[in-house]
Amino acid sequence: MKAIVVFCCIGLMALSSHVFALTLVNGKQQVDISTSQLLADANVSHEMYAPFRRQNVLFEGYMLSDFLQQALGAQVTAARFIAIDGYDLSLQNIDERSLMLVVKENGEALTIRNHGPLRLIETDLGGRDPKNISLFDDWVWMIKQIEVVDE
Amino acid sequence: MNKPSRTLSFISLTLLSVVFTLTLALLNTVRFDDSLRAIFNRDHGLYDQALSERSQSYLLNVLPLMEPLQSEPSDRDDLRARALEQLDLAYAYLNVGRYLERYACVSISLEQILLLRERVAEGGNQPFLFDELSQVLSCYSLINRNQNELKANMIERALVASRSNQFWMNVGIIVVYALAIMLWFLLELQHRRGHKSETEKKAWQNRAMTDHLTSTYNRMALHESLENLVSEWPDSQNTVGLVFYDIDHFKQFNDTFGHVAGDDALRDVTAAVNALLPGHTEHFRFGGEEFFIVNHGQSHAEVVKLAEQMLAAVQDLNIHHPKSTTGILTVSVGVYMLEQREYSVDELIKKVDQLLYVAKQHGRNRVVDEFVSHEEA
Repeated sequence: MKAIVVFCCIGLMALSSHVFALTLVNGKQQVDISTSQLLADANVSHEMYAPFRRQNVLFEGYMLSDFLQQALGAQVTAARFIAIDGYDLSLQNIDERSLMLVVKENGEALTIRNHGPLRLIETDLGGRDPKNISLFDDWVWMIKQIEVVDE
Repeated sequence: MNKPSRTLSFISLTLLSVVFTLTLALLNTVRFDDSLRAIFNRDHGLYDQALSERSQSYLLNVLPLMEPLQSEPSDRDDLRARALEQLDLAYAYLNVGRYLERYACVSISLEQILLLRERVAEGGNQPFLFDELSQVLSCYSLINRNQNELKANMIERALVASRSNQFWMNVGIIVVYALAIMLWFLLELQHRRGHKSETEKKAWQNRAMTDHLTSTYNRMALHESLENLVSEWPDSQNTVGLVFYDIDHFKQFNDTFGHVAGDDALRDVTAAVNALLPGHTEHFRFGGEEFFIVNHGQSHAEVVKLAEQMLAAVQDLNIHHPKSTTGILTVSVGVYMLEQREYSVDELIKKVDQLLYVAKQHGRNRVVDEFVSHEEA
């Protein structure tokens, strides 16, 4: 119930501000969320070595699977991520992976210049060498839209 | 033990060599170069300049927008927003830890992009900062050139490492092949030694069982053969006939012509008998001038016929013997067919010996079997 109220509030705030950071699409269902809402509701923090920063960073944001579950009311297993610069990536089995949507880095809100406003990262590096950024192809910067796709 | 097959050994060795050659050929032709190139040619490779190139292209996208922005600054908010976005993207793709860590010009360039952004955001007819732009572009050139060199060096180092690995893999394969050959050689040697030892053992056993003078089996072999026979007898699937023969008046022959002539006579008689024997028959020297034959698989009539042929064959030798009633060397033969009951070795010898005795008693140079009455003999 609390989650529904929170998301209703988020929706109203988004409509009032008309500045949407993220659009979620699930078939005909579309949910727009503003940057301020995303920043306000961030509920996960995770510190790790950031391959693209080459230093330890405290990330704040949401676990992707939980976020989509709450926002769309559905368990999402596959999704397409579209970035501001037109980059486009589809991922499968996202409910089984430790994927995080980041909105803050070391306490600062992400902007385009910092690969934001929303970034997808993996919290489990799975034994990969974090200094080799070629191994982190699934990290998506500057996400503006997430579409649910058929697996 | 079977004799080791040279063909099989040769085929094994050939197969081993073919596998060795193919493995070496495959290892030295298929290499890892393509895999390595695939790793380093990824769009977002660690040593790529892909990100800086993207940053550069976004920065260059701003240039065509500057002229209309400067000529009509107040009416072109859409162009301004687009230019600002392109500058933000240019900043984002240059704002990468790898570049910041490696190239001092990157942090300066990021500041200069911000400066360009501020100038665009302020609007108005302000001169574009071409000097700053030029410095950022120089930084891109530096990054791209160095990243390319870095990538080429990395590929080269990886290829050298790969070739080194390849060399050691070749060495490993050669060592394994050499060990396999050595193992094969040792096994072959052991096999051949075993075979030789077995052959020699058989040869010695054969010599121990053979009568040196007549080349028939000796009495020890006869006992062994009869022991085996009685242990498996009665055998309803088989018939066995025993033939016991003795050279008539052989002592007198020896006394007359000497032992050398006696030995020759023994050899001639056994050779003549051997020539008549079918394959499933064993020929033994019982002692002196007495010989024993164990015949398998023939009927009573066939064994008696064989005995009569022996009698004739010895006569046909026509060996002069002045003390013989016929004037030539002859033999007496006893034939006994085994019944379907149990026997001892001694009983068997005794049975056939009695029949031979009957043949001797009735004038020699004849065949006597258990079905012929003594009078008839």
